[in-house]
Amino acid sequence: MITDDELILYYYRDGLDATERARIGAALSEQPALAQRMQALVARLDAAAAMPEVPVPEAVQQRWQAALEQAAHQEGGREARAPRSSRFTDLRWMAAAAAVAVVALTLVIQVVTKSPPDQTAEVVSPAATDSAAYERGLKFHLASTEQQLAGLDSASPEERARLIETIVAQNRIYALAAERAGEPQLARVLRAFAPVLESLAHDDGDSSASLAQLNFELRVMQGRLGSGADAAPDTSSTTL
Amino acid sequence: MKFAITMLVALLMVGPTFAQTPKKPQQAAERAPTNDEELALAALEGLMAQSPERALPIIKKVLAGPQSTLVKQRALFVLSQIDSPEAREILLQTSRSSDPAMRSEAIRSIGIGGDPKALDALKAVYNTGGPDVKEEVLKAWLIAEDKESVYQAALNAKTEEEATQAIRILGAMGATEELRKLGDRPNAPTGLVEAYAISGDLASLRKIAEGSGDRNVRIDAVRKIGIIDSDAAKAALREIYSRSTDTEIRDAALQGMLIADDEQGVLALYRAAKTPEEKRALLRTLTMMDGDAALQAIDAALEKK
Repeated sequence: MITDDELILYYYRDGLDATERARIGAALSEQPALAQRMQALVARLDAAAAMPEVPVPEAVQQRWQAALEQAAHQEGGREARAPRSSRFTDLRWMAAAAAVAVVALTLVIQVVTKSPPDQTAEVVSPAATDSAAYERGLKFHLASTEQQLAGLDSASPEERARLIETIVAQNRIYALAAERAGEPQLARVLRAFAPVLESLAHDDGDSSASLAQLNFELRVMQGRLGSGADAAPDTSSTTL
Repeated sequence: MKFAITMLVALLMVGPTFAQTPKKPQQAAERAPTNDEELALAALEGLMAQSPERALPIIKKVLAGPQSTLVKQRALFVLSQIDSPEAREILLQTSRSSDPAMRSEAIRSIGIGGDPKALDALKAVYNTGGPDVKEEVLKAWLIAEDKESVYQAALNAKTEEEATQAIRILGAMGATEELRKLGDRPNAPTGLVEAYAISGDLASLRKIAEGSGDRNVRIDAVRKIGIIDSDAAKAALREIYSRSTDTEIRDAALQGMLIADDEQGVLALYRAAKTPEEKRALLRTLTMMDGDAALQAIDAALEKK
């Protein structure tokens, strides 16, 4: 029996050892239904990234989180038993970061687009809560993007293309979420990242310049969000 | 705190002593930073922890000083994050610079800054600039979501190329209303069909496809409905295919369904097809889609179902 989590890890080429990969690979080639199941799972993950208006079901979120926690435990156990190559660790982090980013993104979108809560029960204003939640999500997105970009060099061309596509989609959604959260300045910065990110996908040669530019701008934005949160916790805008 | 600021200033001011001057300054953004530049960039990042009042004078010194173009370009990005009239004025001045690399980054940074006056001032830069500058300004307006400025650029375009470039940006912005206004004008510019498709404006594409205008444009509009990723677009293509008696329009609808990857739609048409020729054409399209529906159709054809 091959679980959904195993199929997802197989698709992202990570978290499975060679024997497990061979077993799932053989099963996929023999069982069209299994291949179809994997495609459906991947499509569902992609849809979560591409359609902010459709919240990911609670059960799916819980399953992702459980899978990540389980993978983290397994990882801890494996590390205790045997050393791992740095490339494998990078790829594992990239896949995990991408998956967690989708979950975080969904939560952020839900926070930003949800109906205002019952005013009588509130101590902190809903706008401040939503803004803080949005900023926490965005900080995660920026850090996650930086981490994923760092792993691009060691990724295969297919993995690279898939990761860039995921980052571009996440970035687009965060820009939309920024608009909805009343943060047009952040939305503009995220939109400005888009052409640079897309150039990574189409760059056949050296992409180190684009990567360096993105990394710098990601760090500047993280610094800005950090200083905004520390200096002015009561303001919704993070403009300097 | 004072020590931190002193360190930042020191790191940013010592450029010439060990920063390498690039051979082609205008291409600074097309290379990775050197180790020395990395240090200056780390210092620039550190400015984000400072207040705008403290950060601005340091950035001004960097821009006027001996640092490399790459470091100065990054300083412009940091400047875009500072909400002050002086910062905006510096960006505007740099957007008129004769240094293409600095000008380009300043224009982008004005888009990121989003100040209406600065965005409006970019119109003069657009009008006097060459094709590269025009493209950079359009992208800045795209970043700032300034649909009106892009619309005006399309409306007042002096060449077909200029109009097409602006229309493409309007498509990317999802500026349905502005694109429709352009489409309603006599001698509507080319490139509108693609922009309608990219902006997801099915109604405008159907209007062209089912209108009485230029036949080639109508065929193109039918085909490009496939770019719109929605059930309504798929349904429209099936409808156009079923209703039309024009072979080329039907072929375009089929190509649109191929682009939209609507294998269930093509399978339904295959099942309803009356002639062997039509069945063959639809089966070929299904085969190109390489999905389960193709297998079902192939199986049915071989079983003579």
